Amino acid sequence: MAEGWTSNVLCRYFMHGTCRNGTGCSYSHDANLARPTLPCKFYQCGTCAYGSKCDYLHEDPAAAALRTADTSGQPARTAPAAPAGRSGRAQSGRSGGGGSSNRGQQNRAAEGSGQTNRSQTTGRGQGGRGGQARQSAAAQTPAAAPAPAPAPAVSTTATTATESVRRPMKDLKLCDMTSGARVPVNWADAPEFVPGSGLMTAPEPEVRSYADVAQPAESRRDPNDLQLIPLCPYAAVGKCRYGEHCALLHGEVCEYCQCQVLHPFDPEQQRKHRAECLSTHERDMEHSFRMAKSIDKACGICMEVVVEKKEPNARRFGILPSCSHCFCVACIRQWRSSSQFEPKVTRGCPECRVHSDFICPSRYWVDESEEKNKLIEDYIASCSNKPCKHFNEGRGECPFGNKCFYRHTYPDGRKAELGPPRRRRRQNQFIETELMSDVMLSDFLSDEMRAMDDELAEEAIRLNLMIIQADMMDLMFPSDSEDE
Amino acid sequence: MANIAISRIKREFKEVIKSEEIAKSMIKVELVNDNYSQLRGEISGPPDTPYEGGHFVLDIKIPETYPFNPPKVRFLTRIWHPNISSVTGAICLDILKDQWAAAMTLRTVLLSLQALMAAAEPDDPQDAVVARQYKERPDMFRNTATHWTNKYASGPKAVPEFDEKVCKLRDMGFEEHTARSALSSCEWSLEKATETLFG
Repeated sequence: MAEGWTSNVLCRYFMHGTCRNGTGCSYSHDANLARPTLPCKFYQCGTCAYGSKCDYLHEDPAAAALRTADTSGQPARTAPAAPAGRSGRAQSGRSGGGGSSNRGQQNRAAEGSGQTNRSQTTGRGQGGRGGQARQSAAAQTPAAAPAPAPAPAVSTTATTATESVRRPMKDLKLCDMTSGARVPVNWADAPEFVPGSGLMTAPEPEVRSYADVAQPAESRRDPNDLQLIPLCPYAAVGKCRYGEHCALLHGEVCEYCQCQVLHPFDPEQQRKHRAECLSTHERDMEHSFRMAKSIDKACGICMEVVVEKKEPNARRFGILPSCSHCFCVACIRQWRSSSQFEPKVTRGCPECRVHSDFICPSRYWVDESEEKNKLIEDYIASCSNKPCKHFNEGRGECPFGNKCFYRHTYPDGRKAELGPPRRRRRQNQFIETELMSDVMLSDFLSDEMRAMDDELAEEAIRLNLMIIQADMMDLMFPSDSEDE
Repeated sequence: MANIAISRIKREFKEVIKSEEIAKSMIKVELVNDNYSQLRGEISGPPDTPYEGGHFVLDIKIPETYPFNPPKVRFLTRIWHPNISSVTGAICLDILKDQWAAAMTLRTVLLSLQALMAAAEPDDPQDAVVARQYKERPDMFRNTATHWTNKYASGPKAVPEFDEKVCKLRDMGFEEHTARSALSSCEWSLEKATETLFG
């Protein structure tokens, strides 16, 4: 298996649509392999910067936990009335930034026999260790301590919970949904574990968590500091498991993105978010508008619909400045670079034979002249920001001279003043190579005549240039214009 | 064969089959082998020409580099035309050579060939003998073309005079097609044709 093992590995360049090896790539170009399998822990924290482009699985943490629970195959034994406060949260930290729900976590904790007891008795210490070691997102936030546990009849809760130890997972779920008030859905809402008091004895009603002691709820809710309380990332992406007991602020719903992301006490943040949302919305609109125009455009050469081509990198149009026939960029480039036809044939549009000096790659189809002009202007402008690889900062020689679309600068940033394009060799009708460069008509004239014929010579050169210029522009594009 | 060539041909197949021309049985394309590299085309002779009513079969070879290179097309059915070799069926048509364009399809090629049959280019001939006849004796050219269409492309119109002459030469022991070619090239003069055949 030494050879060919890479064929099962997804090509990362293909994933980004930039694999140069195409079908010859030794890595897999199977789009099915691209399906993410590992959960994205940033998404689960509510802040994945990659959004829909993320390589990892974006899945609701609760759903993921349920999936895990269902596939575990063991009768799930939950830790009854898990230790509250810090220890519980730290356990969540251990699972990778709140990666799975409380239930899944408990399930895992209870997998080893006897572990249930240990986590009960050593809950605090364990929690402390876990919190320090992993520094989970939740535990980092100073205000993350839950509100004091509601004080239901704890003994009842405990009894129910111990019963539920023997129940299979499914029953527990049902129980959770139907009698959420009695059985704590959340370990955050579970009664405080007090050492020495034992599980079955009712704790004092006024048990306070460490966080409460350190920073009372009243001071946390000081209106002056409200602006400083960060928004709850869980609520921002969907739902927060703490609900109304969440120590962080649950934002107001943004009317554009329908997420709880507007900070109720920070108008500046609200304004910023709305502006962002609006510009995203506009971008999306523009994208879908342009896509609608491009959606059914087929390439005149391969006859495939360009936006539906198999390789993401090939889903680009090659816009011809002189006519409005539609081709994909790969096909039109290949046509223009084919050497068995005369330049006059290949530089022409394959449909209408109208000559175009260059092609302009574009993600979208444009046919209106205004839009097209802008695209071409942008293209030339972006080319002029890239260093010319023929000129190579003065180390090489650019055959296109001052007509080149690309930047000619020396390493010190000085702009190069180049002459007109170098002319090229070509075969005449007798299949002899004619040197069309460097030899000037004036070279053959005597000094006196040169003075006289300067004007004539210049005219001849100028005419020559006009003919060559068209070809030279194309010569540089197939190789140089790979990116937009 | 390259991927693009195969997928193009597959698409074109659908295009030709769907097009109106097939309904009027003007052009037709079918597969010869499974790999799409060789096809069999058929065009009917354009109206108001000596080829009217005939069905001409074409051999189409798709190069690996298609559609960036033209398909190689030749007539399998014998035809009397200045731009088509009466011996090999080779075609002289610019779009099948240096004026090819990648956006052209089998359909446009077949329609172009039909147009070529209707409007010959004697100044750029493939078959010099035919071209000379076309220029110098247009009536005889028309009759010869009609006769060939009748014999090889199951055209409806027969030319009895020519049939007789071919029969005579065949009776002398010559193969029918050899006799017809000789007669056509020698302006249907029995003496000249016999001379050529014996010489």
